[in-house]
Amino acid sequence: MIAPSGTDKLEHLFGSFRAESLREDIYRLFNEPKYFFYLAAPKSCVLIGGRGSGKTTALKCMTYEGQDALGKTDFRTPRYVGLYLRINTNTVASFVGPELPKEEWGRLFAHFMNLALCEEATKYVIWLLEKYGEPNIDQKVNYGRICKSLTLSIASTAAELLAAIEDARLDLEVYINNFSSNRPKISPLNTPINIMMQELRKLAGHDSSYFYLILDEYENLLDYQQKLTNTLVKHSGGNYFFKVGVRDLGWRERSTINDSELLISPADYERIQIEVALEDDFADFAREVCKARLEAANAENTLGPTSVESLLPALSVRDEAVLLGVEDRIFQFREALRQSQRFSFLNEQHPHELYVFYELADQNIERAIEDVIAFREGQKSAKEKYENYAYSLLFSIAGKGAEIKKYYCGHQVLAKITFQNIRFYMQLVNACIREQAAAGLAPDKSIDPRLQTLAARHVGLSYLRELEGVSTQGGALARLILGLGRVFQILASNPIGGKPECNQFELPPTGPAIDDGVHRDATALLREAVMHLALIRTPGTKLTTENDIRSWDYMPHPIFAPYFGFSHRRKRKMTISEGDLVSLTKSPQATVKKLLGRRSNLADEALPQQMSMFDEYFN
Amino acid sequence: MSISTETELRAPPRTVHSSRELVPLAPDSVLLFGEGEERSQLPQLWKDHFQGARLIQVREASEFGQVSLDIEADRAFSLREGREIKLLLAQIPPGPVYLDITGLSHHVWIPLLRFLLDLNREVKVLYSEPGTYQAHPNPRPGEFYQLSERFRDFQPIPTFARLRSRGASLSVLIPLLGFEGARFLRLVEIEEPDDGDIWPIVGIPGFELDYPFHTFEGNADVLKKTRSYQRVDFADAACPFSLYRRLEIIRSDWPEHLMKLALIGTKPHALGAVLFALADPSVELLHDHPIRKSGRTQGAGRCHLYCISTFMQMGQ
Repeated sequence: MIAPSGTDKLEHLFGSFRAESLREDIYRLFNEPKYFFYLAAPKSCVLIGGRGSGKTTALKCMTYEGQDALGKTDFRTPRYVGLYLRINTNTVASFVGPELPKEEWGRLFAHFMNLALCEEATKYVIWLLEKYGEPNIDQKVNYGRICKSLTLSIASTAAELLAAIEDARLDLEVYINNFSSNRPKISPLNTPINIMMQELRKLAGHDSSYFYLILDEYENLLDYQQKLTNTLVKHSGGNYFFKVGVRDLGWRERSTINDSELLISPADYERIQIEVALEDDFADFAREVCKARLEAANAENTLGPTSVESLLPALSVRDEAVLLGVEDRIFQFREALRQSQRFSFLNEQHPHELYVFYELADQNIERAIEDVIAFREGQKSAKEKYENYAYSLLFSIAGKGAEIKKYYCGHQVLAKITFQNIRFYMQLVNACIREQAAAGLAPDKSIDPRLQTLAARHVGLSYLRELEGVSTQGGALARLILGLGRVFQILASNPIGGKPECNQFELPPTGPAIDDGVHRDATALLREAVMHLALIRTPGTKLTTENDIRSWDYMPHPIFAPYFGFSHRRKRKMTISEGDLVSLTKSPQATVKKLLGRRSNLADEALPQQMSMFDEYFN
Repeated sequence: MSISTETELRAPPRTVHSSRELVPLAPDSVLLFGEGEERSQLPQLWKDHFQGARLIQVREASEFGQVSLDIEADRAFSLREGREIKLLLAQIPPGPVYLDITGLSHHVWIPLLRFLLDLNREVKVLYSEPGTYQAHPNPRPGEFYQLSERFRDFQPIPTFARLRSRGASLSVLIPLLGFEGARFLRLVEIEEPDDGDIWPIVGIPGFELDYPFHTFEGNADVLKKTRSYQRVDFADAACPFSLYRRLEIIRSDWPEHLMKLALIGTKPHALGAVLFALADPSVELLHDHPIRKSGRTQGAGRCHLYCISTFMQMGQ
């Protein structure tokens, strides 16, 4: 029996899935992902991942504060020092307006970046001095030289340099709020950073150290600011490199201030896409993350489950079919078999096998019997038929109005649903714990598949509602997912006569001349959808270029699969035009019918129970 | 002595009137107004009172942060060109200035208020509550009213941009909550505050009896996700001075912290936040500049008159 605080403690540990909820625990609970080795190598790097992918956590754990908290680095002779800067939307939006020409904004922003990065470096020096209490650590650093490059008044210590930088930042702030005031002296792009890094090499024990300038949330930079910062990345090297954290499609500009000079991987930077890097190992990574939390809970004598597998038991396809009520669906088939003496032995087959062939034969008993016999005899075509449809037919077993029409349970399945997003995974586990508690059950017991499924639905709905706030196009994103979710849910519930497990779409490669406005709207919609994890994308069958929306396959993020009731596995795809994509956000009822084609009457089916709140939207 | 100590001894300098027509207007005064809302339409009494050069319409240009005033109607001015704007405002006839913020966007009335105070004008702010809000025909939980078409995104209010050092890491985020949970959600997405640093303020009492409940319901998801429901505080939705007082208390609780005030609730609360920011330049104002849905409100409710200059003088 778990003490009352056991559930609370587990909830705190699993409920704190945002880095901001963890505060200092972020380091204690850090699990190093496999790509961290490449991230921490002495080379500029672009780490691409959505919200909740662990990107910020990994970057923060590379900082000197993070490495110190992890006890991993002796800063008397560090291999590397990470200096972290988060790009803040409100701050960078200060550097825009019709009052100044673009070039002048560029100069002001460059100066701001110089100040910000040099400030972080200066703070490191101060931190180092305080940590080791050795006043000679920085005695060779020429602060005067740094000040000159930043156009500041001369400083001779780190503390004085920091104060001078603060003054310069205030001067800049005054100016951008009131252009009638004196324009401050500004520093040229890059030079102060180079000089700063040269001087940092003179810190005692740092002659072989690398400095990593970590820029998180790169997508928040305006386009011209990305170009400026790309220039810094391009010209880094020697003892310093950049580590950029950005969402997929958030890195919009690849050139430097010289339009013909591009940042190219791997020459200029290492590209790490978290969802790809973790694809094969994510279940293990998630298990380790959970293990750390379970151990923390158990360390406080709040006995909990010992492993995530025991907490979240899975279901095989066959067991799931039984749970969904497959016996009711094959009652007549079984009766027919029982009454026929010749084929009654076929009743030994697992009910799901009987169901699959019965449905595929359109409930024609004779044909179904032939197929079951062929399957029983191990004929290849029958086995393939079963494998192609066994999973997809699970969606059609439970009757209309059933609470659960498909189970989503088990550590491996829940890990897949998150598409390598650790925040979603923690949310799922937390939601499972809550469902368990709400059902009055102790958290040291395995969580029932039904409760896991309800939890997964809850998380999907929660994120659907959150989509409205993730971007200025949030409302459109939510409507897009509602529309696509409905289409794929209908297709999943009616697998016979259509492509089994159709849950992806591609854009037509060519077609009639597309209205520029529609193309622009569709491109913007897809970009936002991918950036904010409404959709995931994978390279299509055609040659892939980053920016060509037609060369990718798209799918609603699998986190929505339990809520809508379609498969979370990436399987078959349909074609959706740009126009229809945009129309889904404006006239969903008509567009859903259009996308279903000859099966458009299926759109009149009642919504699943859990979607009743959107009834008005679809009808 | 803080302003709030003074206000504890006297009533805050505000009056409430059941309609705009009933607001007593000082002789030889000036009105600055915008017509961005149905309820910001001027009553005939006001048009009769503010004659000629004393009636000044402020028009928002399509470019963010640019306005034109009747004083020089053909030209757009940037609210970030302080000298030019002050020269323009200096042409306003002498006497008390009524700044009617009902029909003006935040990014316009806030800098105008600042400039008027800098010019030592006697400033009174007018604000008319909406009569009713447009209800959502089929609301999902937390979505009772259809108020915004979309958002422009967070961008500094002219003259209030802050270039923060990451070192100012001790901060408190104070969202002044309205009905729209999506705005609070977006704020948390953008700012990424630590959960324990979020201190929401709800307008209680609200303009109407049930409005505070809609505020809680509309923001429930984010309040729950960040656990900030445990730290909700309250201030009269229609009183900037109550909000100011509340902010002073928070400041005294967190003297070393940077305060970030998110203006996502009522205009009177936004006004209180602005007054606080004017008194404390370290404060950062955050606003997402919603594009208002047309017809989002119908009619006009009570009209409030806030004597800003009197309030500012009380603190000296």
